[in-house]
Amino acid sequence: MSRPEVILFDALETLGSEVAASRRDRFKEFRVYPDARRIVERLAEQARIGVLCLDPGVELERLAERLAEGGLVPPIERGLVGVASGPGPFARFLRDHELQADRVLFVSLDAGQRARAIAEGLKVAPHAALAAAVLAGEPLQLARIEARDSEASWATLLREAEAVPLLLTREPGPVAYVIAPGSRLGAFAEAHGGGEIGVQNLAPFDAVAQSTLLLLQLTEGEATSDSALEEFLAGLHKGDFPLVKRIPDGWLVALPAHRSLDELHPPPAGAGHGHTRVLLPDASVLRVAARASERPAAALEANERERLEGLRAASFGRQLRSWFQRRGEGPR
Amino acid sequence: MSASRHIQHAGNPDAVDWLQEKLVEICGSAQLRSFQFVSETYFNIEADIPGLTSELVVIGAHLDSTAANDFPYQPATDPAPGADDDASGVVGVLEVARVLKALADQVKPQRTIRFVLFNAEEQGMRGSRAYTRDLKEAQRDRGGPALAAMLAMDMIGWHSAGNAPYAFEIHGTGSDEYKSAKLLSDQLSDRIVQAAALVAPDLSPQVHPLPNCGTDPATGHSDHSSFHYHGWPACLLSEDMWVSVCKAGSVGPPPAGNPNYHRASDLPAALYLDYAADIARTVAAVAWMEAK
Repeated sequence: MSRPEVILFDALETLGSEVAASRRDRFKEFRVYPDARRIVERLAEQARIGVLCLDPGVELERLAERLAEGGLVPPIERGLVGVASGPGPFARFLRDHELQADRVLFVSLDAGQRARAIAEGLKVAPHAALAAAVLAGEPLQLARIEARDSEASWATLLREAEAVPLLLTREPGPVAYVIAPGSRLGAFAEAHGGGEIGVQNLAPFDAVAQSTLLLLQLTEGEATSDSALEEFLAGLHKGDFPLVKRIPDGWLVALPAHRSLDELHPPPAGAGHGHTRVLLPDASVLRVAARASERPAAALEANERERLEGLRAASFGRQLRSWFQRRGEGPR
Repeated sequence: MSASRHIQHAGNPDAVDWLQEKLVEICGSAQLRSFQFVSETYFNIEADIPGLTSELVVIGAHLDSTAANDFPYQPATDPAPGADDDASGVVGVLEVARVLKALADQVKPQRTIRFVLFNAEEQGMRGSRAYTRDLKEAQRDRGGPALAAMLAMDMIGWHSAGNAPYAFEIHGTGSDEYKSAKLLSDQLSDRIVQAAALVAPDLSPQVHPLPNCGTDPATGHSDHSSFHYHGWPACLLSEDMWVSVCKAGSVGPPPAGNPNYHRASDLPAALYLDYAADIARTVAAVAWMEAK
């Protein structure tokens, strides 16, 4: 199997976050993630590094400037920064840069963009922190880790497994959905097997790489008795979803990029508000949040209450009308 | 003009443009924060009332909509007006911004007040997951802003007919799912109850989880939970709609669920504007008390 010689990062959400002045004035700022430079420098020892933006609304020069301002060029090669769109966006970029698709690794959080890359023969990774493993030919694994010791530190445990969390929950117990290098996960399971930590392999990442991973949490109690809901769930099993799995926290579903999440809207009896949670690679959740200064909430002065009284049904209705009348629908 | 803000509908970017303009009118500036979902780029909108410090009080709602309870539903073309879910919360944010800007023009608050309109909430809270990740990354990188409180409004415009007081719901963490956020979120819940008594006496706060009703049913199910996920204090304010699963022998009040939920019939005509304004005014009061 050929080893990638070039790593292309998706311009959005892999190395930093974009601030846009408007939809037509993009990359006003690019806020580089704290770990990005370290990760890219390490990868640059083994491969050439570029950035490819698949959003045609972004100007190449602006993107390149922001990457440079963020201290990422080098190790990113300016010549390997590009914006591509339309069908087959990778092919043109690869041709222009004389690259072979199977020697390129594309890193993107988004299943849709990964699906496009895979269709054009590239390798993919779902997060910058997992790129080194894919570069080394290490298969990735989707897994559910349950820490029966409720005081377990996910930061410590997941570092040991070199895992990137997709979702952490505490009910029915502390559970982490992760993507990790298979061998590291295996060693982790072996080291903790039979103890407080349980590791359940859910799928090879390759099987779900082109899917958005979702956790469906259907309404407790009503779910089992509702025949329409059962029919809905049976329909999921018959569909072309690469993964539909009942787990203690709900239903894990891999939604292919060409399917709509609205298809996972079960009959009302089983669907509470916000019943679907996206599983998104995000290592920042393992870090402790900065706390605000402690101070008691202030009291409301009379003049402040008077000002707040300006928020009434009349003003609320005016705002709503100005929005909906623009859309041809007025409130009563 | 379009009657949907679903992420696959042309009305979604239209709404982003219009709402950004509105926030610019109110706050003087507003910017967009991008994220991707299934090969498309979407935007959350943020606008600040600057305070004396960078510590944040965040007020949010989601701008996208769906009508997935109408079968069959074609998101790219079918109407999804989402008047209650969540145009009511979005207008609540605009209204809160308007009155707090007027207060801040008199006395600059200690903390910065930030208004965020999240996109793709109906897609597994994708927009707020991206937003909170970027906020957390900024905290580490630049000693970025600590977050004092987050107040979300999601569906604040509908109640069953009858006389005041009208129930509305307050959801902190309500469980141990997000331990580090629990204590501060519970304290924030208490302050919302106090504020409602001061500025919206027609409201009857229902603090979740209800006694003997176990887990807060909103835990993990609206944009406030993306803040819990990172350890920040956050509360959701909503109409009376969540179904609590209570222990045997204990009866939770039945929710007054909006029958138009996720349907093309979720139109402005069905909203109770006094009620929505009462909830928004409560949010404005709490936010100001936290910030000033």
